[in-house]
Amino acid sequence: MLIRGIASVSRWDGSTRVTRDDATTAGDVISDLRTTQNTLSVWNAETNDAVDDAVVAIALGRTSISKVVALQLDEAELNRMEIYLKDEPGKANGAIDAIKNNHRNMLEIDYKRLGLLSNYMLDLCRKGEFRIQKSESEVAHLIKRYIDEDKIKADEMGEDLQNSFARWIKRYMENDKVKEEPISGKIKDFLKKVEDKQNQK
Amino acid sequence: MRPQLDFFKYNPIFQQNSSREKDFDLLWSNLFIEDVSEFYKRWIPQNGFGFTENPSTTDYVKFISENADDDLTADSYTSEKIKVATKENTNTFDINVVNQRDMRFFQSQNLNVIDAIKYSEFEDGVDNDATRMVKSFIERNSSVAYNWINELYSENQNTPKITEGLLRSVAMCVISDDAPIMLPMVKAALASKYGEEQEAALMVIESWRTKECLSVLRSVREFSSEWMKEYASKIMAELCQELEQC
Repeated sequence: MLIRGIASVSRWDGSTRVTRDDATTAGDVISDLRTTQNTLSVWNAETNDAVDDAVVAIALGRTSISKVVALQLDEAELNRMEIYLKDEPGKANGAIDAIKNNHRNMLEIDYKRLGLLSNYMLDLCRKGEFRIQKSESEVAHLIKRYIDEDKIKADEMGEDLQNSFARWIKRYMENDKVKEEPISGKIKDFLKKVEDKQNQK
Repeated sequence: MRPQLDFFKYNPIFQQNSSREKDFDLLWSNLFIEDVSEFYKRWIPQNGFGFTENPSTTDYVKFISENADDDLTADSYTSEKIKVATKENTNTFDINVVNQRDMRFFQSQNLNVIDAIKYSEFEDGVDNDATRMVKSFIERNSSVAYNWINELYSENQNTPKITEGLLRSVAMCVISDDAPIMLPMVKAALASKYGEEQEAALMVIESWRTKECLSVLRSVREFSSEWMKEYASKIMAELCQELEQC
């Protein structure tokens, strides 16, 4: 399976429609498939752990902790659309190479392929089982676990994301319900570094 | 437009030391006065060392002049110090003047913010020009910025793209301790028939995670899609567990 992150639920849940008799896929949906040099990014994920890796990789490419919504694409289906893939390390700041190397690019994406792909993805959205939805809290917990497991070097994450994650951890530690769960030394060190940086500013 | 440097020739404070020009720049950048004539009216010395009658502006100038004789160098004057001088001033009149000034500035940026929202791509967890603008306003004066966001939301409540953009900015920039002031806005968006507004409001709730948010979430009768309903149910379950409210 391949994991493709999407920008938001509302673009893909069928509520975005074009009101015309001969309407096809809505423009807002297609605009979520913005290509870079005619490629589109996906993450390889054959196991549940690999799905978590992909979610973390998507989260690490952002500026703040937020939910991750993604779809599981079937490579065989993509090949039927004559969409082929190439392995290329992804930009997941702070992640270990094993995670970054799960990244692949869909190649030579043109007008026809965008149409076919968006239709295929909308179809997956309708069949709920191919959707992946991790809440903000789940994403933050994953990052926390990955830092503890040395799969992420916290100080190599983007600066804005570090600040956002630090804010989340502080609030997590203050929560009566969860504050009994231990916070590791690594996370405490990370918090201290972020605070020091903020104080220097 | 920044006033001409000739201003210094007639201003005793800035005459003392040419490096005061730096202070002047800092002062100017912290005033947010768009109109140069307004600047001169408020800042040009009225008689000798006296300044305009406005106590707030006088305090700004006093702050600069008092520090001009101590061991602070021009380089150590930071806009933060000017801000602190304002923050530490508990005079209600002065605080009101500063708040009104900031509100005027934020309002003067309405069209720029709306344009930024219109032309920015909103993607979960990713900053864009609009969120960066809102964030900078909140950093400058949070309580005034929250009122301004409420006002801008009301003025554009029939334009889902704008309300979505504002709510997504709020979800990324406003911490939960400040939440109640903007909760009615979130509630209104949850009642919207537009999925993008509902989703943005859900993201605010997901970020704030308060009892009040949970209460608002429970009051929603209809969601734009089954998927949105699942998203809302997931947040509700998390908040119930965290807040022990279920």
